[in-house]
Amino acid sequence: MNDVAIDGQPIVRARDIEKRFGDLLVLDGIDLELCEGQVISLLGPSGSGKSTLLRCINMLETIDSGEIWYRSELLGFRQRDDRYYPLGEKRKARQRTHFGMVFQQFNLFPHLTALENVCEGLRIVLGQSRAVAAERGRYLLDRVGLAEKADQYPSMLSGGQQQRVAIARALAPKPSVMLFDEPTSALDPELVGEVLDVIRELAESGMTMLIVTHEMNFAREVSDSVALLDHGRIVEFGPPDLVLTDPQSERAKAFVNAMKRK
Amino acid sequence: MVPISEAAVVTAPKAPATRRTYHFVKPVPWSWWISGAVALIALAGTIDFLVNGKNWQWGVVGEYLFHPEVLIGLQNTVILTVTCAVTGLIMGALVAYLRMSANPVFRAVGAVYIWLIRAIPALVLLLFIFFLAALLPQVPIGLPFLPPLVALPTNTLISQSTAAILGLTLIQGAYIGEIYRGGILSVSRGQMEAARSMGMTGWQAMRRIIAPQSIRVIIPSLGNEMITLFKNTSLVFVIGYTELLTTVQLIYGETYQTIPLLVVACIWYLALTSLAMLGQRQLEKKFGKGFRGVNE
Repeated sequence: MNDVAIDGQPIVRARDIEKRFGDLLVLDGIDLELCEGQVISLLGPSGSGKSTLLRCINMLETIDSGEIWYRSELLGFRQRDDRYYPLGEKRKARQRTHFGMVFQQFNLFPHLTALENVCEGLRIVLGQSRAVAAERGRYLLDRVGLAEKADQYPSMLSGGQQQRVAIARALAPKPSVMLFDEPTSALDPELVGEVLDVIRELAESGMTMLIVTHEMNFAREVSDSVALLDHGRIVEFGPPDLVLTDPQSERAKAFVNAMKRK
Repeated sequence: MVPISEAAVVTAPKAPATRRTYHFVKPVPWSWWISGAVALIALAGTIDFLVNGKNWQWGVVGEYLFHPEVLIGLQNTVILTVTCAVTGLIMGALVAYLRMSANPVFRAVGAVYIWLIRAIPALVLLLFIFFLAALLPQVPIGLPFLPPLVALPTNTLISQSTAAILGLTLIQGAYIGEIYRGGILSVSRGQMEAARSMGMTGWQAMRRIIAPQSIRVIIPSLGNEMITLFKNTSLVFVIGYTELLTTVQLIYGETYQTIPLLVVACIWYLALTSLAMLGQRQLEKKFGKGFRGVNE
């Protein structure tokens, strides 16, 4: 399925992923490979499982079947004799540091300033000193264009600014892969652009990214590949120009047409 | 980012001097006038009652307000309150932990405990603990059905003050535990997810992200609970612990000056409760960081 030019080794490999919420099969056998420096966008109607897939990769949800690998490391489980034993909390927390996650609702910590938000992971997870963390924090805030907002609390920032702080926060511990879960869906239309600019810049700098989005044009522009999900399956995968202009399956055609009409 | 206001200015705002003055009238609703009048009459009546009522015996109140026995009773009340506040806060943390644990046994134990404490009146619980010796003359240390390793006589373990502290701690622990739980649940799920997604363990996330945010929500109810505790200490008179209320009861038992001595107790309860409320306001300010002026 994955026939695009790969410019590196797979950094994340998901195989046969199944995830259920009660009786509902949300992910129904997902296979996905993400290579170093690659940007893949996950598209699909709501309820198709794209956000769940993202959340399974960094173990905010526990998969019911399948394997997810980060390089040569099995995520969330220890395998012995065909059996998978869940990892302890500390090991999982450690593995999550490979990923930086950006949420639809930003999820900034409201009791901390913008700078403290960015520094929190560095201080608590990586044990950096206040000064070292603050230096990196200020650099990152500057990179997302918010240097002058360092001492503001999230409640004083616009949605777009909050999301840019959230991106800086996710980047702080230097993750290998960035996961974006509909980063612009909760934003007022006039604020979408500033967030997309930051993500675009990250893509250009070579960051490996998995993006769940409804912004078709943005996905086309920034992605190396797009995956179209429907009912927990990847129904179409390939270079964005191909998938988004000439989808093969009926489901994909219907979805792409619906998105175009918007 | 791109500055938004690069559009040409269409009209400049007028200078304040050239603007007409508009006199807006803010009418006072007639209900305010009426309620104000009623409140004034009630206040005057209360003052009249307090000043001219025959049996207040304000002289006696003044005589006993700083009476050494009353002050010792007050001291006992404060000591009991502070002790039980500390043990209650710790017990509450334990109860909240049990109730929110993934372990089904812990959850069940927490639920049964809260159910019992809610069901049993505080007075009855205190009496039960104090008279535990009648049910269980010796406290056996060991496993059920097997001969105890050590057996301690209950009466030496449970004095008036240990019964008071134990009883009030058990009662406070249940209510404070639920307050903690409510505070933790009030923090949105996304906060825990964001903290975990950056590699924090559950405990780190709880300590750094969830707890500081829930404290803001918890403080008003916790303040309420502490003040209730302060007054609930008066319940321990049933087991003869001599706190403030017991002390004044002992005095008016001899002198028959019931009303003035109850007034003495009320004045002290009023004074210390006011102090506690001031403290609560300071705490609310301290933990309101980042939330000030936001009403969502």
